[in-house]
Amino acid sequence: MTHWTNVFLFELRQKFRSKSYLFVTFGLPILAIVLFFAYQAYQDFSSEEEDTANPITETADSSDNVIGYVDQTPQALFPAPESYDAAPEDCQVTAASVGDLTPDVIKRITAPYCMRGIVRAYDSREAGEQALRDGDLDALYVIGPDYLETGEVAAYSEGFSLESASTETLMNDYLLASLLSNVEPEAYERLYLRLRDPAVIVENKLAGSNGAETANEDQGFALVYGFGLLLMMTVLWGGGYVMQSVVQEKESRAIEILLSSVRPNALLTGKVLAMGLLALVQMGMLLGTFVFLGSRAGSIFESLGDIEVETGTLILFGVYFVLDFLMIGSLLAGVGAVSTSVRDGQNFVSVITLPTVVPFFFLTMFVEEPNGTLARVLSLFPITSPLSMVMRLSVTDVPALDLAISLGLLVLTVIGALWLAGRLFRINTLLAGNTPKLRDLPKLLRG
Amino acid sequence: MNPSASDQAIAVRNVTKRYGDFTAVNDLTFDVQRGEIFSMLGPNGAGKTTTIRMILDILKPDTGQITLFGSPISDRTKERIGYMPEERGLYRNVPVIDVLGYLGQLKGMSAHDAQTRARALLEQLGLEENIKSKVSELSKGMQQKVQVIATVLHRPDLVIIDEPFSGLDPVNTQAIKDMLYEMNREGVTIVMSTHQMHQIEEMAHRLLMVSRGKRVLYGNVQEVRDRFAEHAIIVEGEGDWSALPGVASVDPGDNGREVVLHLREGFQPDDVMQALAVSSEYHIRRFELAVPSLTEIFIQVAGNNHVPEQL
Repeated sequence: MTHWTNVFLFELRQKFRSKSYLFVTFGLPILAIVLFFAYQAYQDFSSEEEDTANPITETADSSDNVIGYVDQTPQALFPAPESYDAAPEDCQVTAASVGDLTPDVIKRITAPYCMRGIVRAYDSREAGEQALRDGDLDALYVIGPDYLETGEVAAYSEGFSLESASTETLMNDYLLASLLSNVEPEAYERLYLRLRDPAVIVENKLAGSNGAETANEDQGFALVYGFGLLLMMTVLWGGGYVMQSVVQEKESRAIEILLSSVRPNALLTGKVLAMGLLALVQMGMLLGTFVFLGSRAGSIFESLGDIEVETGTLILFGVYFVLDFLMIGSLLAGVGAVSTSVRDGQNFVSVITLPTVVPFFFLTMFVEEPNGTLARVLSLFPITSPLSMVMRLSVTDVPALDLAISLGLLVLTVIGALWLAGRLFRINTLLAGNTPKLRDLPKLLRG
Repeated sequence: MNPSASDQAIAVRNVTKRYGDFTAVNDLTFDVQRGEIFSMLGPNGAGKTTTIRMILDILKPDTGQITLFGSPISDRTKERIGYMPEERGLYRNVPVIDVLGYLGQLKGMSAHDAQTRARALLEQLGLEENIKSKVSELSKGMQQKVQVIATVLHRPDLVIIDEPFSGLDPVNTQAIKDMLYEMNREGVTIVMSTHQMHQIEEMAHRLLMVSRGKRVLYGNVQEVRDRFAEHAIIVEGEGDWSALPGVASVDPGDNGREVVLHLREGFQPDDVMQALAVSSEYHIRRFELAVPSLTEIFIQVAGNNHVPEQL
């Protein structure tokens, strides 16, 4: 077994014994999953209880907002919810009704009657205003007499509150459902759904233009953000671990014994690779938990279901990850070598890590113009190239020449970073007591 | 005598190391023979530790050449060396057995061999109860013992110890001395570096004295001391010392009880001893040659205006 593998295995073993690492990597995900399912169970339990206690008040809309309206139209277009001919059971949303959303079911559960309790009709504006002042309502809407011609509805609220600001959709839904109440279910379904959300915008770019040809903006953003975050956080965490490990060896004064047995580069390689793997496991666990819980919650991840990433792209992600980690890990190991304490080292860390995260500030640009000039420059410059290229690769095909130049420059930088850190490893033994000044570094590197 | 390369554990030839304008080691040349106890002496900052680090390939010399066991240092040669640096240190929050296992593996042992030998040595030094303790949980003396085990775990052919007795109480000092003697009897070459010269006066076969990076004295310990011996004897007892044959002058000694008898040309200490043996007017409690300590010799040769010794 070569020396670097001994170092690699030792570092892995030690980190897997560290309580703080185990807690963040495995404890936090387990805790999050337990809390999530406990909360879900509590929600299920309390909604069951609510159903049993007061099944009639359950409506299709679970919003907490309550709005009032005054219908001043001469035709009395908007009768009070209670005046409709329906029964509370019609508004019950059951698993069966969700699984079988026929036009009948849609019309039934979105009917004005089902909004009783959260939409209240008032005979006069004064009565409505009084209810608003008494705090019974979050907002009051007055539908003017010339509504049919102008569509104008006046809104009233007590000052500004988040509740009143979010009631507009509720009023729109009520007006729409009321206007369509006499339409047949099939037509109702089409009209109600279309009028509620008249345009689902899918952005397209002309073929041959600077960008993805048919990129779904949401998916592109999620990919760029997701892979970028994974790379950035893993590299920064792992690099931090490397620095911490070197400083601890200096503080405990074990470094000189190690260097009498192992070449600095072998020590460095073992450490950097071990910490990279540990950071990847940690980041993978946390991100995996986040995605898992997100999909269980059925929220923002719905649109990610059909994302596909090509194998070649995934291999390139891996290559960039390894090179990025070797570069940043080595540089941070060098920082550790010239630092007397972890706190001392932190001062240098941002000098190295800040430039690497610069591409993240241009996230939108990477989604919109992944082959634009700035994106290309950032993905060729070694310090910013791993994150930039991963972000570009996740949304578009990158020209082979760009990849070749970017990888070539990055490999050279990695070799330089390993050499630099190796030099500092030798030197650091002489500098156990103090941190050198920046101007001393060239002298130290000459050895 | 010029020993052959195969007899040399270490050969240092014209080695110089500078840090900017400061010359830490200046054109240093010396050999360490296989199987000897060799001592590097000199005050703090003389360049001893820098020399050791260059021998171990932790630092590279600016000029000059260093060979170990007849060839330049390699990973294979490093495995034949046990090193205990002046700055003692081990991983504090790692169990003793794991630290020793790891360091043994870095010296080329298999994981199993390293653990087995570490257990045996821990038991030998009375640390069997602490095999799984973290280093930070051990007393300072126990940590020193673990450090010693880490140095000799892989049965090295050459042991280099920087300041071997630094921070040790008399009991542990003796324990380390005994261990070093034992290893030396088994053929291990031992190099010690210290500024506490009196500690190794009795141990080393040969020595190298350095001052400000330069060699000031080098050779067999006894020969060096004899070379600096005064033509005098030290005695303790009662009698008229100036009346003895061959005594040129009498000086009071350092401790108030002894006296230093300076001898005339042509007279030897044996002559004085014979005279004392036949006379009933003298009571003798102590009689010895006035040989200076290594510290005194060092002050003589490395004083402010010393001239480096030539080979």
